[in-house]
Amino acid sequence: MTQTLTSPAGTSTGLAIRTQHLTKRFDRHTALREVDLEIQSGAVFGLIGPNGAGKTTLIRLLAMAESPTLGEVFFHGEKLDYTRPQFDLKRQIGYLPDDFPLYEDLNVWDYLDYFARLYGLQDKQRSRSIHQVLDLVNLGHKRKSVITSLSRGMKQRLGLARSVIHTPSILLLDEPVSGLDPVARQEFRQVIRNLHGLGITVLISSHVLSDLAELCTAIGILEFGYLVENAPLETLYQRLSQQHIVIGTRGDLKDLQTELRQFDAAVLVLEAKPQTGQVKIRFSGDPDEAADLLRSLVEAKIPLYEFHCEQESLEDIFFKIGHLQPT
Amino acid sequence: MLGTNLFTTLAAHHLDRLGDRNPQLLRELKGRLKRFPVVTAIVLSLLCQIVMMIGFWAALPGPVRLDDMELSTYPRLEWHGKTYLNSEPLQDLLPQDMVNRDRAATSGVVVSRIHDTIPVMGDERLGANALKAIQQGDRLVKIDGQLIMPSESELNGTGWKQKVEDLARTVDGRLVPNYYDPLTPERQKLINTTIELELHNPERGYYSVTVPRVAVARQYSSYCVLVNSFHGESCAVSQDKQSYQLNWSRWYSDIYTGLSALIIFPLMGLGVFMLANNLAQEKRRGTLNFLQLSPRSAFTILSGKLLGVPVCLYLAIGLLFPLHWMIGFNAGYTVGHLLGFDLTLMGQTLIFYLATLLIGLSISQPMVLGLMPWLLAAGVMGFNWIMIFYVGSGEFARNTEAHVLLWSVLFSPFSSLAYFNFAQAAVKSNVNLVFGDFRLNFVEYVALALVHGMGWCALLGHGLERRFSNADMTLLKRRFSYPLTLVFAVLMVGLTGTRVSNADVPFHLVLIGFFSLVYCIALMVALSPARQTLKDWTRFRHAKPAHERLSLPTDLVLGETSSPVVAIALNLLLLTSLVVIAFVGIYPHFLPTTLEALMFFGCILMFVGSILFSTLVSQTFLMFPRKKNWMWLSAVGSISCLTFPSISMIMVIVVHAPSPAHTHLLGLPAPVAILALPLSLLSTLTMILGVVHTRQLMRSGRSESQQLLSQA
Repeated sequence: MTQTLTSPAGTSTGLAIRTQHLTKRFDRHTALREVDLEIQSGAVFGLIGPNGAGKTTLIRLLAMAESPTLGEVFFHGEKLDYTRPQFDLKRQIGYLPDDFPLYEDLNVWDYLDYFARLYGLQDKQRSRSIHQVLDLVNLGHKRKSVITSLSRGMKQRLGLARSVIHTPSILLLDEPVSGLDPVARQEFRQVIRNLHGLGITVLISSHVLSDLAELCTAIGILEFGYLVENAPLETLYQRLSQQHIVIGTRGDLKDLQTELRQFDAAVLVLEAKPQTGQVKIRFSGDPDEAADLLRSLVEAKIPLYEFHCEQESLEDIFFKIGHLQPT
Repeated sequence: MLGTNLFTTLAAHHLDRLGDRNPQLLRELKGRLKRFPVVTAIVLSLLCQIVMMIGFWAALPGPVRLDDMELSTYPRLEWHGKTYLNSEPLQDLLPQDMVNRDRAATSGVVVSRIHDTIPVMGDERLGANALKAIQQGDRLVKIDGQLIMPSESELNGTGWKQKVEDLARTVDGRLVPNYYDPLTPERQKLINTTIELELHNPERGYYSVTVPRVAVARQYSSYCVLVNSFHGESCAVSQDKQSYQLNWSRWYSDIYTGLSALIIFPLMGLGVFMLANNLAQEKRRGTLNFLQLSPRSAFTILSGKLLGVPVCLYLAIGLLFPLHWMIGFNAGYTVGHLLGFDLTLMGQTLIFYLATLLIGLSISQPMVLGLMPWLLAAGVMGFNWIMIFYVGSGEFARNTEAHVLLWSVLFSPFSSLAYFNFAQAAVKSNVNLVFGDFRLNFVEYVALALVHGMGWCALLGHGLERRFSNADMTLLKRRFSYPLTLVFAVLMVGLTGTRVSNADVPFHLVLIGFFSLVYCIALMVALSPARQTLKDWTRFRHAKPAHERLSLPTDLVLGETSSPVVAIALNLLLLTSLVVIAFVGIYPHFLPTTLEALMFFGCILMFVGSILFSTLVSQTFLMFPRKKNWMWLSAVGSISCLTFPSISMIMVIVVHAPSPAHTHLLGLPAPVAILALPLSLLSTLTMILGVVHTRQLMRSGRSESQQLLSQA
């Protein structure tokens, strides 16, 4: 019987996570500098940045695994106090670190049961939750298996199941797909989508930007400990991603180029390939203007055999605005 | 079958409920309460009990056997060769006309003791008249009509004492020939044969008695009812003459002690090892982080560990308790006494367990983590082993001067055993722990040990709660350190009491100094924030919101993240001044001259200075670029090790100098010179180090731009 994980209680619209001047130093190295992060409730927020940019540090600070040097963190408007245990706030957080250890001697059910109890789930609710998360991560058939016998992908999903057993409102995932094969990654993405569907706010850091582009509703880019970008994915694409159009003609390439000059304001020819009759242009117009361009070329009787638009990927954006560090 | 199922269901239900309250406990129980460890624990426990009971059973004397008997007389007489011969001329004592019989009555062997040991074989009625008639001091005159007396030449000779002793041995040989020989059938024939003795009593004159030969037991066992016999003490024989009379309370008392040791050593040593090992394992695996991040308090998680990790050990020891209690009752102890021992044991064990958890949480180096269980277990076992000898020596129960070392008795369950040990059917009423000016009976001791244990548990629990929720937090809140120092000072002075003689005050002060040094080092560890925290404090102290910011003096005295040097100095000042004021108040005459008083305060300054110096060294090392705790610990340790003995030595030299005012060195009275040089050196070094440390802190507090500017 497939059961669906229930939505977390206490989720609301507005900001799920807000940080103010969040700073963390390790000796003389400042891992995070004055980070002002805002994540909407229910968002899947992708955190990207090169190694050493401060992604793990930021997630650990949000998970209360470390205390900040300076700055404040708010979950659903409530301030985190690192000097005293705040059990109610801890119950709202699910955290899966990049290198998460498991109790290898336990079986899957007992492991989840232990954590469900730690998070205060009782009796039927506990049992139901375990069934739900096992179905969610597709490990229902392995519930009696000892953890040590699971594959890496399964362990990763078990870790995720452990971090959502108490249906947190905020889920922090640090490099959850590192070391997974494409199939396992795809399964993992599906799980995240399901969690997003439940209204859980997910913060996920990863180097696999294609995965993030597929999953995330917002992106933050960290560089040298600075949060250099923090925006919804659409806005980011609109603002930073450029459109390329590849046009192929069976006629004379010069006719095509002459016709394109009428759109000088929006078109910049990037590359022309006379042998194939292809031109790659950067087009800064909107989709209507792209349609106008196509219509104009057809009306000009250019024998087109190809006209397709390409959007710059998240990786392109990252390379464009980020990746400033020498490494 | 139905009953078993019902029990299993009920047990599962209760375990489930328990798991809701304390998931950690359930996890530990489920991981450990498996067939093999449980059966092993039960078997080991029962085996230990059986072996111990067999061992003690074997120590009991068995039935009376021929091998354990010897030939004797009833009554058995002891002789010595005391004569009236002294410096007086022999002829005055022994007139020439005196018949030999009379000479024997004045110079023969004397009955020195009469043993009425009931014979195992032989008719004691034959000797009943002899037992009534013979008195100590009577002289033996004849055996079976033959005169027994030293010859005149023997009495005139120089080695007469030896001669008379030889004579006594000869008499013994005649009464009981070869009494050490086994009781062979031939020798058994001698039983009930009688000997005619003629003795002389100064008042009653000459009299004759008949003494029968009998067989008596010569078995010795501490578990017998002992009677005085010819060879010392030997077991009393029961009425039926088949067995010995046993001192059962002594036997049960010894088993109780043995079982107690069997409980104490594994409970403390093995329990500490298990807890330390489990924590080290969690740390190495990295799973402890998840527990720390879960919405469960340190109390829930750590109590789960405390109760769950050694559960098989608890099971094994729990199985010992019925026998322990039964034996205790048989030894004559009351419920109150047995409960008192168990309660103190629990309290004292809890101190060690909590301390183990705290140490485990505070250590992060993998190598130290690996060694930690062994070191801690060895430490606890070693401490208890020492305490067996310390308590066994009765040092703490003597009516002598009390001293601070007595504190140790409150940590070891063997102390309460001293009230029980070798008791004859009850707790000893004459054992009183000399605790300062108080002499504590058993009930008072138990109450004090429990209050002491609760104090420690509260203190360690405070540290655990802080360290568990945030590994960077100091173990102790700085504001708590001052009352703690106050309690420590009162305890130190209180333990010493007011009955110390003036001449011994320096010795007691040195002991207090040593304990204070240990306390200050512990305080250094407990109050020092993590290196990063300290660096962050120097850098961002001003950037904190106004409502969270403290003024610099308040921050240094009460803050949690600032440099602890000022707080340690204040604690040290508090401790030293309290101890000094108390001692000067209680013993106003222990420093009779101004010079001695000056020297004493010089020593105190030296002590305070050296600890401050150690603190500064530790903090300076702590701020070094690379985190090396071993460096910091070794620095503090070596400095403390070097300074303390030298200060003690100086103190002893100063106070015990034969005439301090009259010896001179470098133009100054010798003690002043001895003290002034290191004191000035120490104060100079402390000041330099203080400046270095302050500069270090200020440098650490510079912003990046300030650092760049300073480099430019």
